Amino acid sequence: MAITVIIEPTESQVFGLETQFEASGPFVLYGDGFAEGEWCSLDRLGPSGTYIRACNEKGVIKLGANPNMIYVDAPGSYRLHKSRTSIAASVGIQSPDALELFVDTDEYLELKVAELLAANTGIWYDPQDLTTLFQDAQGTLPVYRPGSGQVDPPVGLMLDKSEGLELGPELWSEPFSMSSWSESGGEAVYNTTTREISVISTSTSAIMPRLTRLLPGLLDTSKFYRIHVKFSGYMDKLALINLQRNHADGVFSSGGVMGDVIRAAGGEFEWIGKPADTALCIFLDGTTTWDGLFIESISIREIKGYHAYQPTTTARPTLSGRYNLLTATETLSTQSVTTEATTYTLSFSGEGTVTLSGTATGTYSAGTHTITCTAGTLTCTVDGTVTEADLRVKRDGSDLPAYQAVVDANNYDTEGFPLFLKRDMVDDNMLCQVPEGGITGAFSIGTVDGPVFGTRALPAGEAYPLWNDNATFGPSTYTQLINLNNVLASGDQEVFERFVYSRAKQLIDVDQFGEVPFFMDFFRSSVNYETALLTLDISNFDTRNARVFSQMFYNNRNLVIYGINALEVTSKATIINAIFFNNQKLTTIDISGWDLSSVINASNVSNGCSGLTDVIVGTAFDNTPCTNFTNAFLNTNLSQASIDKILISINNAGTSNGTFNQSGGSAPSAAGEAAITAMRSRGWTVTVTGGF
Amino acid sequence: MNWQHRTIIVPIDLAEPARDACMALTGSASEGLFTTPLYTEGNPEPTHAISSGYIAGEFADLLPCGDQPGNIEALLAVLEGVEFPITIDELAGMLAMIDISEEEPYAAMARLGLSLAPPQAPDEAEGWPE
Repeated sequence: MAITVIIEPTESQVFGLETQFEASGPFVLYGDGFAEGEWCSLDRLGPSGTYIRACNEKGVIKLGANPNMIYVDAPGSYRLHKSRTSIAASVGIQSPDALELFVDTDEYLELKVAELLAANTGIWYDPQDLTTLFQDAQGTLPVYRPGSGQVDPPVGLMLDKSEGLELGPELWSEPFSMSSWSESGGEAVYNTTTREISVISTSTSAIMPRLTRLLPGLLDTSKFYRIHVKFSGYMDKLALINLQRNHADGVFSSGGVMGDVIRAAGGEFEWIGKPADTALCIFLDGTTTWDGLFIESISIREIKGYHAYQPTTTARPTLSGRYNLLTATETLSTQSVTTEATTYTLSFSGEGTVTLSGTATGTYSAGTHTITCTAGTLTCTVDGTVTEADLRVKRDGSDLPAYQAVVDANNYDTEGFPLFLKRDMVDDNMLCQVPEGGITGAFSIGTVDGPVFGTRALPAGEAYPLWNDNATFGPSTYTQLINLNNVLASGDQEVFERFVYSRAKQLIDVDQFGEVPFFMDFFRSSVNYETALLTLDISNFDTRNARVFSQMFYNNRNLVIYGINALEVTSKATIINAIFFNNQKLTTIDISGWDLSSVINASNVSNGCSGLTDVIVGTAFDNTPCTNFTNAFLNTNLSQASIDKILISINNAGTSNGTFNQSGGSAPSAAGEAAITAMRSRGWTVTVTGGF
Repeated sequence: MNWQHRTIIVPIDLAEPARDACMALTGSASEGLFTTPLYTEGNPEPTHAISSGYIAGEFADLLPCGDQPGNIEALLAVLEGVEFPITIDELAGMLAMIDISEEEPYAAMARLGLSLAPPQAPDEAEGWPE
C-alpha cells in the first residue's frame, strides 16, 4: 500500500522549510506549486553521521521544472530542504513502504531549537527536563517527578540548557596542598602523598578546623560548578565541604554539602555549587584528634550556561503536572474544589451522576460537559458510580489527554501531561547571571494557557528570567523559557514557535489563553524593567472571556504590540484601568469593537502613552456605565478627531458624576466641547488639553 | 527532604528580626524571607510582610501553625544552639504576633484583610509618566 506524506503548504512555508524523514524503502518525491527555478535539495544521512547530498552534483531537485518528481531507490534517513518559493508550495513523499516524517516531532523541533541556541547566545530553561532541576539552590537535591507520592517539589535551581550543559575544563589539579585554618583552635594536616587528612590538635567546634585550597582566578562567583568528591576512611569526622564563605557565626551563606549527606551516599557525591569565594573548604570535626580520612578524588568543572536559582526556600516555584482538579478520580466520591471564574470541562464515565453546587449548578451524567463557574468553592456530589472523572480548565488550544488520574494532591498521573513551573504570585521568583552585554532578542514563555512570543532585553548581571524583579507580575506557569540574543529570521522563528507549542501540547492553529479570566499585571514591568520588553505578538490571544485587564501592559515604555487587534474586550470585562499605562510606543488603537457595557474602571487606561495619536472609538463608550476615566488620557498625543470622538461617546452614555482627564495632544473642537458641557451638567469633572 | 507548605505573615516591624532568626538557623535559605509587603485597607504604608512556600519539615514542626501550638522550647534550644540572642519570652511574643498557616497565600491574606497592593495603587497617581 502506498504511503504518502505531504508537507502541507502554509503561508510561512513560502520562505522555505527543512524536513527530515526516514524511508524504509524506495520513494518518490514530488512537488506542487513550484515555479520554474524553484527547488528542493535532498541529503542522505551517511555512515559517519553527517548528511551528504543525495541528488545531482548541485544537490538540487528541480521540482518546478520538468520532471517535477524524482524516484529515490535507497531507503535511509533523509533531509529535505525546500527553497523559498513564490507561492506556498507543497512537497509530497510517496512510498510503498513506511515513511516517518520528523518535521513536527518533539525530537526534530528540539534538535532545531538546540541548533538555534548553539548559534546564538541564549538561555533555555526546560521545566520538563527533570535532569536540569534541583530542589535546592546548591543542586544537591534533584527534583522528583511530581505526582509520585510527595508534594510537588520546589525548584531552587534550574539549569540553562542553551550550551548543552557542557562541562568546562577540570579546575582541580593534583598533587595539591591544603592549608589549615580555625577560629576556635585546632589544626588539621593533609598528606599530599597518602591523601590522608588528620586533625592534630583539637578545637572547641565540630566544624573546625578546616582545610582550604585557594583557587584564585579559577572560580567565578557568577557561575555554577559541578563538584564531584570521593572520600574514604574515617568519614564520620567530615563535617562539611563547600565552595562558600562562612559567616562569622559558622553558619554558611549558602551551599555546601554536609558530611552526613556524603556519608549516606557512600563517600562519593556530586552537586552543583555557586561559589561565594575562590576556595574549596573541607570542614572537620575538631573535638578530638584523629586521622584516617582520605580524599580519593575531587573534581570541579564549570557547567556552562546561565542557570536560574532561588536561595530562599519559600520563594522557590514548584514543579507540577496537575491539570485535573479532582482527587480519587478512578472512582469519584463527593468532594469540593476551588474554582476560578472561568469555564471548565467535566468528564467522567460510569452509571452515576455528578451534581454541582456552589460556583456552578447542574446534574450531569457520563460524558464531557462544559461548566461555567464563578470564583469560590464548587461541590461535586456523586450519586452512583462515577469513574475516570476529570475537571479542568477548558482549553480549546490544548491537546492533552482527556483524563488525568489523580489519587490525591501528591499522587497523580503525569504521563502525557507537560510538567510546568508554578509560581504563587506572592514571592516566588528566580535569579540568573546574564553575561556582559545582556541578552536581547527573541523570547518565549510557554504557559499552560498558551505561549507568549516577543523580543526583550535581559540586562547584564543579575536578572530575573521568569519575568522581572517583582514576583507578583508576569505569568504564573512555565512550560518553557527561552531567550535569545538575536531576532530570528521568519523560518527560524516558526520552528521556535512550533517547539514551544509542541512542548506544552498546544495547537498552533488555535487561539490560546481563551479561558484566562484575569490578565491583571500579566505583562506588567517593574520599575527596573520598564524598558526591557520590546515586542509582544498577541495575535494568538483569545481574550473574549477575560474579566480583568488591569495594568496588563503597564509601564513598558519600549513595547510595540503586534496583533493588538486580537485583544477583544467583551461584556465580561469589568476593569480595564491602566491597561496601556506608559506604553510610549503605542500610536493607534482600535477599540470600536470593544464591549464596555460592564466596565466600571477605565482610569489611566492610556496615561503616559505619549505616542498615542489615534483612538478609533466608534460607539465603544456609548453604553458604558463607567464614570472613572481619571487620568485616562493624561500625557497622550491624541488628535482632535480622537479626543472629540472619545468625549462624544462617553457623553452618549448619559452617566453622571464621573471624572475624565486628558493632557497633551490636541484640544477638543466645538463638538468635543459640547460633549464636555453636557457631561459637566451631569456632575462630571472634565479636564482637557486647551483648558476648556 | 520533608517539605511542608506554610504561609507566614509577620507585622512589618517584625520582618527583619524574624528574618534574622531564620537566617541564624538556615543561612541563605532564609535571606529573602518577608520581603513582600502587605497592606491594609486605608493604609498606604505596608503593615505586614509575607512569605509563602515550602519550608523544611524540621522547622515547620517547631513553629505554631493554625491550631497547632508548635514547640517553642525546642525552637529556643535550636536558636540557642546557633547563639542567636533571644529569650523565651521574646520568642513567644514574636510568634504570637506572626500568623502561620497551611493556607494558600491569597486565602491567608483575605482572612487577615491584607492585600499585595496599597489602597492607592501606583496607577492612580496623577501625571507619573514623563
